[in-house]
Amino acid sequence: MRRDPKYLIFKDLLGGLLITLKTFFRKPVTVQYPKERVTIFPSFRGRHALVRDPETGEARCVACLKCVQVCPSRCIEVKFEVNPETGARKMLEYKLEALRCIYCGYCEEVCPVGAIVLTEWFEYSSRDRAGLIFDKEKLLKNWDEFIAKYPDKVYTNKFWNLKGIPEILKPAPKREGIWVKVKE
Amino acid sequence: MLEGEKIVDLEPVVGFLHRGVEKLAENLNYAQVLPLTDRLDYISAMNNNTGYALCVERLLGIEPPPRGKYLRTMVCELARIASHLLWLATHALDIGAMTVFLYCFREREIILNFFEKICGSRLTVSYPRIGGVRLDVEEEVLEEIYNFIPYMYAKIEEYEGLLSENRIWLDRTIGIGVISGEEALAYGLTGPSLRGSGIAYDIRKHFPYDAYPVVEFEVPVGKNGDTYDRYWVRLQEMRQSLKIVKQCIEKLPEGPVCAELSPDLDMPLFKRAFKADAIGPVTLIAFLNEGMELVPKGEIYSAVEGAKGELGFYLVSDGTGRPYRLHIRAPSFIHISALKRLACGHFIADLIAIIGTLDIVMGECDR
Amino acid sequence: MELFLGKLDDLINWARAGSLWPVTFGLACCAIEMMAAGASRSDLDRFGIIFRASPRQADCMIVAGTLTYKMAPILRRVYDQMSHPRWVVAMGSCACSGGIFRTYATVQGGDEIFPVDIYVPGCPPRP
Repeated sequence: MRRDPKYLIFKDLLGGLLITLKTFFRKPVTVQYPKERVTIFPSFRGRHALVRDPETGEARCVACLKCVQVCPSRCIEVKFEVNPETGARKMLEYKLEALRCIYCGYCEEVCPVGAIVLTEWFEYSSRDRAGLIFDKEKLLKNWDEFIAKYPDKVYTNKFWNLKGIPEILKPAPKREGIWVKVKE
Repeated sequence: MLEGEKIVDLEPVVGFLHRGVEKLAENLNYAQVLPLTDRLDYISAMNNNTGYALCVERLLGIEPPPRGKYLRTMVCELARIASHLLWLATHALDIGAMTVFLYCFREREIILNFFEKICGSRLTVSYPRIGGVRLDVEEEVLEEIYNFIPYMYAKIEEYEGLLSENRIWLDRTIGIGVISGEEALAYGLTGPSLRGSGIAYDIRKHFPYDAYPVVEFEVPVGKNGDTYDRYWVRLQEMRQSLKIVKQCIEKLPEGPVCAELSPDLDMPLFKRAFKADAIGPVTLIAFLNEGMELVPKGEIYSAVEGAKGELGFYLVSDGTGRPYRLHIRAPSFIHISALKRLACGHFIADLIAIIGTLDIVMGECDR
Repeated sequence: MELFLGKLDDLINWARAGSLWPVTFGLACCAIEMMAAGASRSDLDRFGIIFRASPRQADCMIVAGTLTYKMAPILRRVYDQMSHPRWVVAMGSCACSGGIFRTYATVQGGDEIFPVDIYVPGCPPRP
């Protein structure tokens, strides 16, 4: 191989350098971050928020505790009270430890009313651990900050399990029915 | 142990990233284990999810619908390309080619963007689910992926142009870490590391799952079993993966993406009281006492062709909603055991090339 | 003289802020995103952030990934070797608080081992 004339005229190295030279004249792919933003696609799983109902101004949560049950890292804590007359539950405190969360999106998938969501907000950090333990007010504030980007205040995500969305558009494991056949 | 610059003996020490995934899985239900498998081989998380989902599907006897199967195959192959790109990037960076690192990451970002559009996350995707996939893919995204295929072919040509004939690359890779086919089998190597030694063992061909029986592809095989052959096999595999992705998009059938019987995310530990009103609570309690099983009892092993090799999941079920035992046959762990055989007799600078060529991910190795 | 020293201080601070050299401590998944942040699309070199492999040349440590009890002494040693002033960024859920891995093998948060200055949540945080 070393006697090969192609080897002697550095064809291999020059071929590689030609490729780098071609790339030099192409459009750069770097996103100049603070000036221009990376496009975050809808349905990105970012900072948590509790959806503020525009009618009541409160969170939509009905304290069904499904998110608490389904969370793989057990980072959600909900306190609620039961109305003794009607039996309806009212959510009092919603604590979410963002440092534990693994952003799998299970909570927004199982939520029957679309109350807890993961927004497209991804630039956030804190100087202490307490700053990233979201309580109810912080989560509602997160939602306000997020929805401010949408001027008409209407935003739905295909991953939220809201009522009125056709069954085919819902996330996979949300179909009703018995999932293991009952042995007769 | 060294003799001058030569390696005489070495022993890999593993366990620095042991996180107890297998123990943790015993305390979560079947659906909740899925995000854990993302964090095993975090470079190609789709393959891990598919492997785990496939294992549980075989245990439960669920058959995903055809569209779900095709989508799963498609994202698996995209993840394989992303994984091989990252391998090429870091391998070339270790050997000394910085340009390839930057180029590979450029293309990898595009694939990760697809993942973000499909499922909302870049690395830890949780997209394949037990019995299908999470959500349907939109037409525009499919079109974008389809247009990406010829672009990616051209880019693979570029990497080959940079590396395949480069004299430094050839000097660093040819004849380094040679292992014969029989020995590779004896060490339990799988995936591209085995195929580089000339044995065409591929689970996608031999034990096909999902849509792999339907699509056409070849299994590239090396000759000498050295570092260069493994590099060549992986580049050819990227081409074959692109071919599979193309076929998947062309043949994609209509229909649902997830099986009707697929389990809920908040899977209960025991059988839920579905027909409590219809049959009455007394009957329900009787059901539970009779040992009504949520999932069938038994053991199952199922393997998929991960980006690194044979990725197997071994599940023991005791009838409740949680796995009794989950064992993961991680290819990286088995590959790292062959390091001593591969590296002995070489110089210490070649060790980097050998570690790179085995494509070891510590998250998977230590679990 | 006072003025000169003050100006020198400003200059040093400006230089420090303009070129923050982190030592990479990539442990798991987040390391891949850290590499992606340093690679072509979001190029960290634009901010003068150059990854160093040696703790002695760095003024900031990015702990990216799950920290296990086996790894913790090594991490502590690397932290001790860094020269003052030094900062630590815990990147990702696992380094911040243990994340999903609430098991026997994982350190429940990097701040059990060393002081953490900035917590970045996300699993992994995107570049």
